[in-house]
This record gives sequence, structure tokens and C-alpha cells, in this order.
Amino acid sequence: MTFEEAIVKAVRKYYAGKDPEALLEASEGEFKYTREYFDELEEELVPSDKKKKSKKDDAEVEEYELD
Amino acid sequence: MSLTKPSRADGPIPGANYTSDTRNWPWHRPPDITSTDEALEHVMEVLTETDAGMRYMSLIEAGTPITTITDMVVTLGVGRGKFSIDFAILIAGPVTRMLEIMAKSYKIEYDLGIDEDSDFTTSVVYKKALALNNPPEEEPEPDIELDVEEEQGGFMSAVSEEEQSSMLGYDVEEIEEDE
Repeated sequence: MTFEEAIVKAVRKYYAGKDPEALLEASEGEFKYTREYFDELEEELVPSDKKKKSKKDDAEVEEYELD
Repeated sequence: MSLTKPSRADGPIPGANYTSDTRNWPWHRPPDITSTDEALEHVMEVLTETDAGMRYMSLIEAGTPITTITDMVVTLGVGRGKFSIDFAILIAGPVTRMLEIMAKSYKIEYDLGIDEDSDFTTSVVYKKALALNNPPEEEPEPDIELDVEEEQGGFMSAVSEEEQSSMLGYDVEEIEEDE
């Protein structure tokens, strides 16, 4: 296996939700850059359509309530 | 110095690689970073605070898979002695995710490069294989009577028995006379 293939395999496993268990066991503290961190970062930078829609709906409801 | 006639004095002498001190390369020394978070912070800095990030985005926009960019990013870190090769593989996933988020934020269409090639045989292959095993039955060719001309003796062909005996002096008539 070449280095390029190893990288692709590692990325594939990361996207499949598999973590390097040995690394997690060996590390003492918690990781900062977890999947949740990246999901939050993504939501912050690229708000998804669902969230946009829900925000719009909330605004409409508020307007309706104010009326 | 011209490109067509390079100066020989500028190049390394044969065998120079055996005399150089390879311990001086950054990747032969202990790595600077041994923590995942530190490594990712370093990569984040490189991506966001230098032109490298935009260069990578241009490559992604041009159709380069993100895994290839990840390979470039982590290899660069290994080459600079920031982290080890094993560590580079460990952080490949989060680095790819980082690049993906960057591409999304710039509204760039991207290819992750992790799609596996289909590992099944298509019907076209089966059809070809069946066709090879069962060739279509050939129609028998109609019997054609060929007019084969009798072989005529050539210059070097064997002579007939009569001619041969006459050449040897055994004439049939003479034999009969003797009797």
C-alpha cells in the first residue's frame, strides 16, 4: 500500500465514523477537534437549508404573533 | 547557464549521496508536534493564514480530489518535520473535513476522492464471455468439385518406370528376344 492509498483509506474510515481507537486510548485528555466540533463549524460557516428554513419559519411566526 | 548545455561543475559528483549527512533532514529528527489537536491547529493556521489555503481551493475547484490535497498538506508537514508519517495518516480524516468545510464555505463544488470503484462484473463482460465459450455454429460449406489437373511431371520429377528402364538399357523387347 502506498502512502496515497493509506491517506484515502484513513479518510474513508473517518467518514464512515471509525476512529483510531488506540490513539484515543493512549491520549490522556479529550480531543478538541472532534466530529461534533467540525459539524458546528460547518453549521456556522455554511448554514444548512433546514436551519435557514426553520429560522425563516420562526421569523414568520414571530411576525404573526406580533400582528 | 544554458539549459541545453548545463555546467557539469554545478551538479553533485557521483556518489555524493553516500557522503551527505542524512540526519540533517527535518523528517529524520523527532517531530515538532505529537498531539492531534496541535497538529490540526498547525494545519488550520496554514490553511487560513497563508495563501496556501486559497491555492488548495483553486485546485479543488479545478477538479482535484480533496484526498489528494490532504496528501499534499500532510506530506508538507512531514517534510518540514512537524509530524511523523504515521501521525499524518491519523490526522488525514480531520484535515479532509477541514478542507471540505472550506470548499463549502466558498461554494466550490468538490470531489472527496473516497468513492470506491464498483467491484462487480457487468453484464457486458458476461455476454462477451458466453459468446467466446459458445461460438455460433458455422454452416457447412457446400462441396465444390474442383477440377484438379493431373500432375504433370516437371523438369526434376521422377520419370516413369518404362522410361527409367529404357534409360538403363533394359528394353522390354530385348529381354523378350533373349528368352
